[in-house]
Amino acid sequence: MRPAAPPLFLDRLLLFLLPPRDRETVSGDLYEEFVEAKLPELGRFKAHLWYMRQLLSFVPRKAVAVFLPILLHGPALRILCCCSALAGGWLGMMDLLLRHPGYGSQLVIATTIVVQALLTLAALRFYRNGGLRVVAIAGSLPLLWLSISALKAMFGGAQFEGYVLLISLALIAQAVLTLSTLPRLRTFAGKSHDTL
Amino acid sequence: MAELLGTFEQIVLLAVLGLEEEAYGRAVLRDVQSASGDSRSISAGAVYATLDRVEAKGLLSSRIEEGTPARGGRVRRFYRLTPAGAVALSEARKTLETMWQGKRWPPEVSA
Repeated sequence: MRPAAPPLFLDRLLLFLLPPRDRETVSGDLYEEFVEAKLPELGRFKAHLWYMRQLLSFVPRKAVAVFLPILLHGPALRILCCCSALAGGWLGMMDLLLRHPGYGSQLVIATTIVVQALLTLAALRFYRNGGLRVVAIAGSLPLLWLSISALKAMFGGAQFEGYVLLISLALIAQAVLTLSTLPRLRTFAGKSHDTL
Repeated sequence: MAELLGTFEQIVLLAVLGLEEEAYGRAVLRDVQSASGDSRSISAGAVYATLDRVEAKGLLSSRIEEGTPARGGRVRRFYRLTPAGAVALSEARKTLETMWQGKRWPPEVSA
C-alpha cells in the first residue's frame, strides 16, 4: 500500500514513457510534487487526475521516439522494396518466357524496378555510405515518373490491368518513402533512439 | 547571429536563472507554471522536453544530486545557465527591445 504516493501502475507507466536519462529525475520530481503539493491541495482524486495529466503529456514525445525510427529504419520501405524486387523479377521472367512483341522495353523496366529496389535496400543497410544513398534517391525519381506514367496510360486506355495498378501504387509508395527517408538517415546515423 | 530562442525556451531559461542554485526539475516546472498564471495550461512534458532541448543546444548544463525521502529517494537533476545560454538570452532580449523601439502601444486599430 502506498497511501501518500502516486498509484503504482501510473508510476510504472510514467517510467515507460520517459527516456532512460530522465526516468529517475522526472518521475522523482512528479512524485515530490504529488506528495508535497497536489495531494494536500487537491485531495486524492484530483491529485491522481493531475498526475495522470502530467503523464499523458509525455506520450507525444514517446510516440515520436518510438515511431520515427520505425519510419526511418523500419520495415515499411524494406517490405515495399522486397515486394517490388519480387514483382519486377516475376515480370522480367514472364517477359523472357513469353517474348511478346516489344518485350525488350518491358524487360528493361522490370530490371530497373529490381535494381532500384536492391539499391534502396543496400542504402538502408549501409546508410552511412552517402554515395549509395544519393544513387538510391536519384533512382527513385525515374521510378516515380515511370509509375505515374503507367497509371496515366492505364486510366487513359480502355483496358484495366490490376497488376499494373498494384505495382504502380507500390512503386509510388516506395519512391515517396525513399525520398522522405534516405535524406534524413544521415541526421539520425549518429544518434541513439533514446535521445530522440 | 546565433539561432533566436523561442518564447517557451526563454521562459524556461529565465526560470533556471531565477532559481539559481535551486533550479531542479520540479522547481523549474512550478516556476514556469506559476509564471503562466494558469498551472493547468503548461504540462510537465513540455517543460522537460524544453529543458532537454536547451541542454542539448549547450544553453544549460546539469548535474545529478541525491534524492530525498519526499521523492521516493529518486535523484534530482539541477540545471545551470551556461555562458552560451546567457548570451542567447541576452540576444533574445536585445532583439525584442529593438523591435519594440518606436512602436506605438496600444496600436490604433481601425474597425
